[in-house]
Amino acid sequence: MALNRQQEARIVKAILDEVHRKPPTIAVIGLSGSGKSSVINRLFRTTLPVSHTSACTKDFLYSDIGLEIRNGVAAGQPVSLRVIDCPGLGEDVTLESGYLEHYQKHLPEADVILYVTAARNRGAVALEQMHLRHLLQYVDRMVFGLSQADLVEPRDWNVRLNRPGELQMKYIEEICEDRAARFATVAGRQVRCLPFASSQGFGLQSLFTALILNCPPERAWIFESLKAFDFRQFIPAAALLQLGDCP
Amino acid sequence: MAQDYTDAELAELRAAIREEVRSELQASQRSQNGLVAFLRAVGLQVLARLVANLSYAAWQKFKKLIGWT
Repeated sequence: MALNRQQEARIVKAILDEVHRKPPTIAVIGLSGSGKSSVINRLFRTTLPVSHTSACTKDFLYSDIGLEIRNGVAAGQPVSLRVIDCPGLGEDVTLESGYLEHYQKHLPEADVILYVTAARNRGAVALEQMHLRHLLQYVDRMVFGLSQADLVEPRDWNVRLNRPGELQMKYIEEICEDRAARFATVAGRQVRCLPFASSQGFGLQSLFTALILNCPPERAWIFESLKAFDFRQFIPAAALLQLGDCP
Repeated sequence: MAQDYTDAELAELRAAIREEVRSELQASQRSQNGLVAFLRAVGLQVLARLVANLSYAAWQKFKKLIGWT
């Protein structure tokens, strides 16, 4: 069964009306430097500022990022991705309660919440647990991601396959299990922690799928309209060629 | 381009790709069901039913048409 032109046009209009009425809204929670902006930029081809040395801004961010539908019948139509973020979280104890209040205020508007914990920041898990404790009423809409998986020791990243090395993968899985268990004790529910590496494109599809699965059903489609990556682009071209059409 | 990947490397990649494809399908299916739920919620029952009955191939074609690629 296929749609005719008129039906397609009505659906496109309904979609654009909804996107303009309430832009897709994602909240990202995580300590400063955990890679929140990097992953949003990778998933949606946005241009949130990224710094590897200091927090890009200490202010609470509630921003509508203007994007454009790139292909198809709605090409050129402006759309927005709304991002709720506290870039300075975890940097200054005198600001923490303010950040958490901001999250309390704005999280109800989020379609989905991405909680980012950095793989190599084990010492900060207690602080992350405290943050989570303050935001417990939203935990059902949270997706937990383990960022910077490529930096996990022994850093034997397999460049030929663009995947973690064997031992690195083992440690990544152990870290994921450990973080999931620690968050679960606070959350009061089972938690799954998904590893990813924004810089390498590793784990992004699984993370993206988890985000869609955690959206309210009637809004689940809205993020796919903004998806800006294909996992195949992160597989070395020579390997894809050798694999042929039937991987 | 040199095709010098070993069988073990290719097997590892195949397994990873299978997992990614499975995940992609899951997201796509959820997205299709989500659009059906949305269309119902805004009163477009007939269109909702049509989208619900789209085959995987037709759904992919529709996504491409509206620029979800």
